[in-house]
Amino acid sequence: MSRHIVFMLHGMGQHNDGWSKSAISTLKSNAKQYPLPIQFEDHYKFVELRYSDIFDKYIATYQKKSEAIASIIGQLQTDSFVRTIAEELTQEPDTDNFLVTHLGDVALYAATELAELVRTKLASQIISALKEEGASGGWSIIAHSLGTRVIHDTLEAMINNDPLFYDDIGYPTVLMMVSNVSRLMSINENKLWKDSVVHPSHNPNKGACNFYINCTHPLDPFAVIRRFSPPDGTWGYPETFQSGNEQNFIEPKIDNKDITQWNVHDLSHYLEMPLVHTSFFEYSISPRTDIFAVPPIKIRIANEKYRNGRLPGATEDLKTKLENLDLSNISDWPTAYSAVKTYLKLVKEFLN
Amino acid sequence: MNKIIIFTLFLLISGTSYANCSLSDLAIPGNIQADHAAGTLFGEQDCTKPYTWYHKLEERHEKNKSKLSPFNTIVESADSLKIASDQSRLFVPDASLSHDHRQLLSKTANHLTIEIERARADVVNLIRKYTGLNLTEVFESNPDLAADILKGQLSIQRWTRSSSQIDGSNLWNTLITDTFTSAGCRTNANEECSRFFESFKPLLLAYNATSEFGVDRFKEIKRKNDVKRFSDLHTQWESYIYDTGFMWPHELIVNNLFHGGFNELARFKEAPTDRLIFLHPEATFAWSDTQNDGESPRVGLVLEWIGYMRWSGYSKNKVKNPIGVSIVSTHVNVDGQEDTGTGAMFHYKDFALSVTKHGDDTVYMLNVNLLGWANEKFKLIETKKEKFEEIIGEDGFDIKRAF
Repeated sequence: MSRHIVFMLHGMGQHNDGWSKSAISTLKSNAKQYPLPIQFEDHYKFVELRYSDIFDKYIATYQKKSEAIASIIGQLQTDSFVRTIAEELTQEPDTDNFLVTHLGDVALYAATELAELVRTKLASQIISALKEEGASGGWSIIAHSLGTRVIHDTLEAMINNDPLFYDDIGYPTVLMMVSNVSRLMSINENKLWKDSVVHPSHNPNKGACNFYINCTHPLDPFAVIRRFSPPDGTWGYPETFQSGNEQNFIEPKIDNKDITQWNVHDLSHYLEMPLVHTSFFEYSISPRTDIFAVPPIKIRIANEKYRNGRLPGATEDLKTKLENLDLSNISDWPTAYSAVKTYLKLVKEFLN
Repeated sequence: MNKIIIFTLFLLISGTSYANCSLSDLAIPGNIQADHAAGTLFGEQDCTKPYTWYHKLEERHEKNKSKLSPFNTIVESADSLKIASDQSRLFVPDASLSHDHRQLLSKTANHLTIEIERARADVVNLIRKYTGLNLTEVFESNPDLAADILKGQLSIQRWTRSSSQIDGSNLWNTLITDTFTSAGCRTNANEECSRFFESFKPLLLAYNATSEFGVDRFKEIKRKNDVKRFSDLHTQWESYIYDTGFMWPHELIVNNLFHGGFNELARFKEAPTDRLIFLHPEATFAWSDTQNDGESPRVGLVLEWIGYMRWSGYSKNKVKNPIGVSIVSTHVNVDGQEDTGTGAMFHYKDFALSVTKHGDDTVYMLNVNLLGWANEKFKLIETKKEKFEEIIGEDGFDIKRAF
């Protein structure tokens, strides 16, 4: 029997082969504390997806070209408008700067055709893995940060470009969006809610997944600024149910005190939380809403244990400072940019 | 997966003859936990022993999985469907069952036979239509046609168990689930239901054979085709970005807007066949008509203000014969002439040549990439020349040294 394939998709910044090991290991070690009706290794097959190499290649070529131009400019004996403009246009990117390496990826994805390279690569990787393993065991996706928008677009394109998408590989059982920036990176929000096929649905011929798990830490700036919060009655309506037994849009209730490491945005930091990883186990193992894969009492116990283990003191200090940023009330881009900068400064200070 | 579901269903009830295959939980189609448990049991013992025809199909399917061409796959599917159809047509319900249950099973068998025959007719028509054609080529070169073949003619959806759990229109629901429900055996595990399940087994297997060996094979072809299609598309986009002259970040943005810009609802687009050149600085080597003979070329800087490139599609996923022209300003230091000039730059494949007027003087500039290419060629010529001289030798041609 085919295993349940779980595609792992990273967020902003450089990610090398094997980037997902720590996240998978977090899931695996946490799975041990629940009486799951499956064996973790037998049930899941994790497939790591990677697109940061596309941006890395571009940045490396850009640096090389900039160096060539700089070398020519250095040999010119006089000034001119051609020289001045060329100097301005070819400044080497500062690859040590977080804003360049991380937000640079976001800009390259959102505003350039490198996005086509990203989406075609992911589609090819996904179908290739499903071809190899077979789709009969079902499949799910765990995407983080920029990866949430990337997979949103990739699924949108795959479904709309392939009339046999549902009949062939079928939609993913769980689409888990950790620190979801799909809305943050949206330009036409009306289309996002009303026209996008990327929403949950119990009808396997509609929507982009059976269950959509949206994980937002209240102090994660990337998730909180223009938070992904679908308005009632519009998002994939009527396929998306948002309450009762038919619930297929799930939002773990993460507390703003749930901080166990300096980088609240980190994928493993999210997956460590019982409310987050049990949501994934629950819906990927037992998609039927009336049967529990993880007994609720066990979730409660694990959550209490987790919350007792949260770091006090310094983390509390970070929490207060992050709260002062008032992230949820930011609505314009310049303020968002400055909040992200302040956030990065704070966590850096905290780390030191 | 279907296989597992099927065995899950009958294993549940057949507690006497297949004691080790039974489950403690009651399975309902779609219950993934039960599927998994049944999958484990299925791996441990052979519950299919009486059904050698099914076993053989399964073996052949595994054996030929990787080496069949699309056309052979269709032919083999027709063969599998014939076997499944025969099994369904020859079905006889267990005589010990109640009259109602026997009638129900006979009705399902008739319905199933009709549906399998319908699918087989689709496949046979496909074979007639495409005999003599290179179907691999059709699938690879025309994904839309491939989709039509798969969807329109074979009605895959009807045989996909998972596709219609809600609207109930697929064959899994109408032939399998509804039969169990009508017999009152979907949630009951009494002795009569146990016999009912046991008797139903050949039909379940015929359904499964149709779905798995008759229809799922087409999905394998499709996935193989899809992987290649996306991989080709990826390579073409890569060629567009890197083989048409490097695009600086601002040029990436401008070209993105030129080709339609950000779309809230993403779609896969064909790789472009043109691009804009906009504020593009390039390092070059320059020759001026005022330079003395034998004087080395000077390094120079070209700034392409605006320009346009196009190419005639993609060959082996690489841009094919790109040509372009742009308006440029250049900067080069040559004694006795103006440093800056204005003119045009012409692009052809890897070549880019600019011609600019610096006062009364004309300056020609070649892009550095081209010089790199030329150097490689010169090196190659040098190597060949050395080899040639080595063969010819100082004293003339020596055939022994040549071989």
